[in-house]
Amino acid sequence: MGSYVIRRLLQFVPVILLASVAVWALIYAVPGNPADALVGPDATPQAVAAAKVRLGLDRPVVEQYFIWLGHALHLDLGHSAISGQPVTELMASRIPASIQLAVFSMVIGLVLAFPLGIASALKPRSVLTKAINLYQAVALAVPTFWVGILLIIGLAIRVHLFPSISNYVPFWADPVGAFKNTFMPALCLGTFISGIIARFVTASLRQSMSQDYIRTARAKGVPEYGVISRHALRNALLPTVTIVGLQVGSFLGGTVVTEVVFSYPGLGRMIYSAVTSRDYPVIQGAVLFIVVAFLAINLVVDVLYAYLDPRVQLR
Amino acid sequence: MTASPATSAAVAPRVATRRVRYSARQKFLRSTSGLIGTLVFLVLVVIAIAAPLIAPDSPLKRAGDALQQPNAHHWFGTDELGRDLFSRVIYGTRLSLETAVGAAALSCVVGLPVGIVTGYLGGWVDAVIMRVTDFVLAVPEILFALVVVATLGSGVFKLTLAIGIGATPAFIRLARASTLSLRDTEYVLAARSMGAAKRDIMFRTVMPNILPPIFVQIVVTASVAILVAAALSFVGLGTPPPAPSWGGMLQTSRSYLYQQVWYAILPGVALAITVGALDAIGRGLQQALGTETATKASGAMG
Repeated sequence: MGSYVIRRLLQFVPVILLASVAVWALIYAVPGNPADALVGPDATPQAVAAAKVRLGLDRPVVEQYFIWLGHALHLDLGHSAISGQPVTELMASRIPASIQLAVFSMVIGLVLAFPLGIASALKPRSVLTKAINLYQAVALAVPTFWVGILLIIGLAIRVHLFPSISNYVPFWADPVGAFKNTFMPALCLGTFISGIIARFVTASLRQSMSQDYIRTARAKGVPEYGVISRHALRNALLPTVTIVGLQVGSFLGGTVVTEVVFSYPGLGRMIYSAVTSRDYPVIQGAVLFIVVAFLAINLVVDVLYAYLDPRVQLR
Repeated sequence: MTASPATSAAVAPRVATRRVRYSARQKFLRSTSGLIGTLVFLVLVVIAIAAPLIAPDSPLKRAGDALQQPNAHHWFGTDELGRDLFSRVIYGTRLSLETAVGAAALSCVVGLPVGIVTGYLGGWVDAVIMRVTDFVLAVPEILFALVVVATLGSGVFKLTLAIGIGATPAFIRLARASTLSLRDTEYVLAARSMGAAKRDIMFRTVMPNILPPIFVQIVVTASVAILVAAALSFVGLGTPPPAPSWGGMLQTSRSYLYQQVWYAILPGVALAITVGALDAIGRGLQQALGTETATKASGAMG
């Protein structure tokens, strides 16, 4: 177990370093002078000069990278070119909203996916399964931002059930308010991922139902419900853990457009605002954070998988 | 001279491939989703090509009063500038398919050879390229495209380029994994022992045999490209107006939800049908070729 974790960590470090180089180099791909791009269009000449000194922009390129990396390792990702706020502070204020949206979406996704996935695995040729397949196809084909517009038309404009602009209300402060504000964006994202997860549940449950230990359990006289819940489903959960983990990772930066539709103040909309206002320090910080977080989640998922299924480590 | 065992071994997979291909075609035609997807997609291709013949009005010029409800003259109604929405949606098909084909072609043409070469040769180049793909795959497609557009500026060409680059690592990974699984098979060894050049082994012996999962990936990429392009146009960073992009139409429609609700619905239906058709083809291909696990499970969430 220990050596497996170390091996995975050794793969993790070079990717992060590579990501840091790419994110740092982004500023040099922008047409114009990097110092101007970093402090924003309205900066005074003094501010530009100060930024040049702070980031060592008059030194050799390699040294500039290490200066930047040194700052980044101390959680100093620079200041927003628009508001002047520290980038880390700005991100920290958005992360709780993003996490809340991710949790709500995942709950909706799992609640929809499991019954559908199990049902279609157990009755592969029924009409119900055909209907479930159709649902999955539609869930994956329909863009989330369009579902968002439809939900706003239906549930906010026609019937005033939910607000058409979703604010961030912390769940522990006001559960009802949090539900009202997060439900519609979470439903968009949740139905989308339910299509992916349900397909995985079906595939892995079908596979585990054809294993020898299922035949053994049946031969022992275990009731069918027990065969499914205790033997088949438990083994089918393993591959599902991976896909759920990957989806959580993709919630970090993949929800930009959904957050824009609902004006939800998460990381995604912060990135969107940064891109439209060319606020490069914020773009750099956000991308770096998302890559590191995504890889960390992947690492945790892999380790968890290896823990749940010791056979994995042999590969 | 009789055929040496090595030659017949080298010939064998080609016969097998043909047989696989034949049965795969039959299986694909028998899968309902593959068949429906293909038919719908063909119709969309015809619409895209024959857009000027099908669309009753110009997609860019005023055709009547603004924000009309659907009626006999304007089947989908009109937009805020009085342009015929039906015509705009028809021309939008063209834009969407262009992006899809461009992005899929770019990522396949770059990713396939790179994946085969790194997989076959291995070594430090392989290690470096794998870490690069790890990095790009850690950035959600939509975010990757956003950042590229933020750096290079927007426009149809840059958008296609951004999506294509973002989709390349998946091809590299897929081609590399398939190449690795074939590198030590008997017919590759046979080709090597006969003194075939590395380039010929990679592109004549290995490549034809790893194509099935690549076909699936091409279809998946096309579908993701359409969604990402629409999402970017929707937030105003993709195809700039007045071009009739479905994403752009949905964006503008949000200001007129009370006056012309169909404006916000019909471009989305077109988008969903197109993506759904491609997904259905992808699923049919997967079943027919038996490459269930080959593709990346995530689509473009937006």
